[in-house]
Amino acid sequence: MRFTHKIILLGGFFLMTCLFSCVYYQRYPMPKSRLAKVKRENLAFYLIDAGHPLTRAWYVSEIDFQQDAMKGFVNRLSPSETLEVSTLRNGRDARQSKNEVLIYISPKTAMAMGDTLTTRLPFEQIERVEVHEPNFGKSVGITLSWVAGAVFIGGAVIAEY
Amino acid sequence: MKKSTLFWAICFGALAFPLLTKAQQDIPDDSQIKPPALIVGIGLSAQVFFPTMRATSLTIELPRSPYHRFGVGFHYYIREFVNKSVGGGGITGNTYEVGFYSKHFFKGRLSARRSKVYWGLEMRLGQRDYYYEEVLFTGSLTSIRDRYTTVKIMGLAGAQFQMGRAVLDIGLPVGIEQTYGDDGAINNFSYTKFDYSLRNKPFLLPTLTLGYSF
Repeated sequence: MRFTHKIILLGGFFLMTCLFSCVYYQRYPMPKSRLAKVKRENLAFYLIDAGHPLTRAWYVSEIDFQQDAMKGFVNRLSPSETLEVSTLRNGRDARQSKNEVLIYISPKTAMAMGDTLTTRLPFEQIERVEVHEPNFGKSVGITLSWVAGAVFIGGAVIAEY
Repeated sequence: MKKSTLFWAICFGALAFPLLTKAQQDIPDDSQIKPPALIVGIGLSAQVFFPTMRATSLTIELPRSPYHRFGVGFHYYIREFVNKSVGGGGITGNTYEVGFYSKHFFKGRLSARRSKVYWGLEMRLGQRDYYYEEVLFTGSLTSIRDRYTTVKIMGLAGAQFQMGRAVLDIGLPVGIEQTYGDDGAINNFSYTKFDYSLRNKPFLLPTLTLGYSF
């Protein structure tokens, strides 16, 4: 196999690796109206006190969305679990949290919520919803930069030999 | 409290009130936003590599949904003047392409957020009319004119920004071009140093388009 062919194959492998690995996740707001439309399989829903996001959070199981409210069985998280859910350390953390839906409720509602209970929560009491999704602009931009760099270096190597 | 301080506080409150009420509203769901009926754009593009050419374009884009768009485009290549010498040449003002394309905007899995970034496919069929300088048997420098049919297949990557009705599109199509002679045979030879007729040429086609949505 010629040297240039080896370079092209190596470059192709390198590019494919980049294309599959360069997906950057970050936290985005989600419309409340989308809650009833998302497929709930494999998703974990958390209620977070918007006033105290680092200390008060609940895991919601048996969740069901209606036209203007959500129902579910809530279970209070421990302080360390709450910190784990609320805090976003880096892109890898965001990628690992891609199946988590964070529902921020008003502090007034959170104050009235017990540690374990079945509850019905009208959408008016939800302040915002956040999910972790790819930042497509950054992902495509960095991938294209890698491709352009590899093409440039590959072209220079091939031109040299 | 001074009267002027009170006046400015009331003014600030009046200005901030719409923002405060807006904060209580839900953010828009991109999947429910009605796309424009039509986007008409004019653009500039530069074909990089084998050969290098500049073009102006007119595109008509038909959004099928907030995330998918189909369009047709007419691309007119600007004539080139290259030095009169052996190996010189250029395209004439009779070089154009007509094509259609599809753009697919990236979509958030849960939030249905429409990204500004898209990918797509484009196909163009066109005519390339060009000349090249050759020294004939007589020894004189002669300009030889030739014409080929071109077929381009491209992968698109780009970003589209919308500000009101104005649209700014920055695209980076990458593709392969094939040229055919009058008899339908694939043109396999390079006549000039500008490679106007080399087969299966890869190229980049950076494009900047300004549009208006209806």
